[in-house]
Amino acid sequence: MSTTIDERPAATAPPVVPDARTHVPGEIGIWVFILLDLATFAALFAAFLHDRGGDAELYAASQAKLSQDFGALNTLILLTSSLLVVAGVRGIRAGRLREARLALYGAVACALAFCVVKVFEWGGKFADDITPTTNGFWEYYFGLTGIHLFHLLIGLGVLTFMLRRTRKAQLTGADVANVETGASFWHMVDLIWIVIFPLLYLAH
Amino acid sequence: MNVTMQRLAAWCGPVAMIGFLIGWGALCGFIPMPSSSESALEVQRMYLDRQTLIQVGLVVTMLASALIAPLIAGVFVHLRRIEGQNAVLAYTQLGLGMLLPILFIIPCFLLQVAAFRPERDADLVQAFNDAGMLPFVGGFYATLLQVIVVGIAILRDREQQIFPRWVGWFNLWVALAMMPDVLIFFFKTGPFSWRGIAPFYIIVVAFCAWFFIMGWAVHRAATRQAEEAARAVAPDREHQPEPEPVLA
Amino acid sequence: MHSSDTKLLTPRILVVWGVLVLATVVSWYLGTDHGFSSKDGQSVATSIVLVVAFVKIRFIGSDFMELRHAPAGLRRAFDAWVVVVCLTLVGFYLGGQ
Repeated sequence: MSTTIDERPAATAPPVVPDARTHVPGEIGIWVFILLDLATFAALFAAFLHDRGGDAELYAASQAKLSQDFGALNTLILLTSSLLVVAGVRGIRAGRLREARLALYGAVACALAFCVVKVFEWGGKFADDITPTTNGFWEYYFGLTGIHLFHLLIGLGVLTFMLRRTRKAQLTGADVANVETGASFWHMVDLIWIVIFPLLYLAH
Repeated sequence: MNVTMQRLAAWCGPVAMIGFLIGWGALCGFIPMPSSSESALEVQRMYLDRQTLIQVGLVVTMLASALIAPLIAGVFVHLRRIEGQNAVLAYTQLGLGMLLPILFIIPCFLLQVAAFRPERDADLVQAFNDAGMLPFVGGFYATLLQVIVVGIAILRDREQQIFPRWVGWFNLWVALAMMPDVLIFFFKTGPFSWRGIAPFYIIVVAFCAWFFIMGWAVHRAATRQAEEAARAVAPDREHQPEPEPVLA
Repeated sequence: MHSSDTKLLTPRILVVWGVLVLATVVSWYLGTDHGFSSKDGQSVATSIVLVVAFVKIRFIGSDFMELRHAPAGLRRAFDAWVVVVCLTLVGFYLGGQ
């Protein structure tokens, strides 16, 4: 077994900026994860449009019962959360941890607001006796928004992880890379919603 | 160093998946899956029409299931190198992974019961069909934690990098992609039924990819381990381990 | 929260965010039956809304996710996803109309 571990401790931490011109946000692995997850959602989106084409009237009649306002409101909430996460990452990089923390708390508030809107939206549907098994449209609606919500809850954990980094006295290059990794995941949660909103709520 | 055995174990993963595709897919004709909303008579008709093919296909699937075990052992060996003495994650992976053959073989037995006497009461044939199909597609509960554990172990390995870090992230994606499997009990039609895109096709792709990628990763780790050992006995110790190649 | 002399949020990031918000509001307006009552009109409006969504995603990738400064391979992989999925979804949508 190799005994050279202790001889090169510096090489183990990913450098913050390996090249002044190009920089992988976080690490390459998170991008493998993100692109695979985006491909997964793409398959679900295509399946939705395919099935929608097979039963257009039912899907249109069901979609008419959705509130576009809830969907749009959540889009704006997530876009704002992403902006705050950008500020948080830049703050952590610049060593301005107090400001970074404020921005990230703002992002957490946005995430919680998203959940509150979702509770009202789903609650309204359940109150109208609409459930995931009502028909194909509602299966997709609850399935896609549910899987997205699951991602968002994981994202809340990621934001909490990033907030803990703002309380560390000495941030290493690995810490900064981890923060970027977390931020990339959060932006992905935003990105997926950007497709779900027009697809489920707006496509006529 | 038993590199040959490790390489064989690594190859067992892809071979098991090819066995599944031949047995479950080509012979049984279960890709795409038979519909979960079919009537009992339609299910019975399927078993009457293709009885022998389904029986043989299930036998191939069951034989292939056992080939999962050597790859799990191969993954274990290298996870334990990461963790050293108190290899909690490696043993969790081993235990959960070794359940996999059972999780496929038992459902196949239940389907064999349906195929054994398809001429009996159609409701009974359908019941055994459900009893086999639901756990075959939906039995991911041990595997979910298994791939999460593999992902965490790989991502915690910052010093040795026995597996490439992206393989750790890949494992976490497999876990996420499997989650919709919890929904198959609630839907008989649509994207989240047992033949739907989310619980079936996406998981088939994720699961098969896991066996190919982990097979490759174990093969690579075993080769590198042997090279390191060879370098350790070589007289000049000037050569440092080469840095990890950067992906893409 | 941020005074104008801090650089936690550059003008560019703020403009991108503003454009994303504006695009959302316009899509919201287009998607709620304003001015496009005919079936063809709806198809056009929906296609525009879908394409606008993927333009938004390109901005999220390049500016929020900082792919603007990423190595070319990663940038191309992301752009490829945007283009392929956008074309696929618009194709599936129009195919189902």
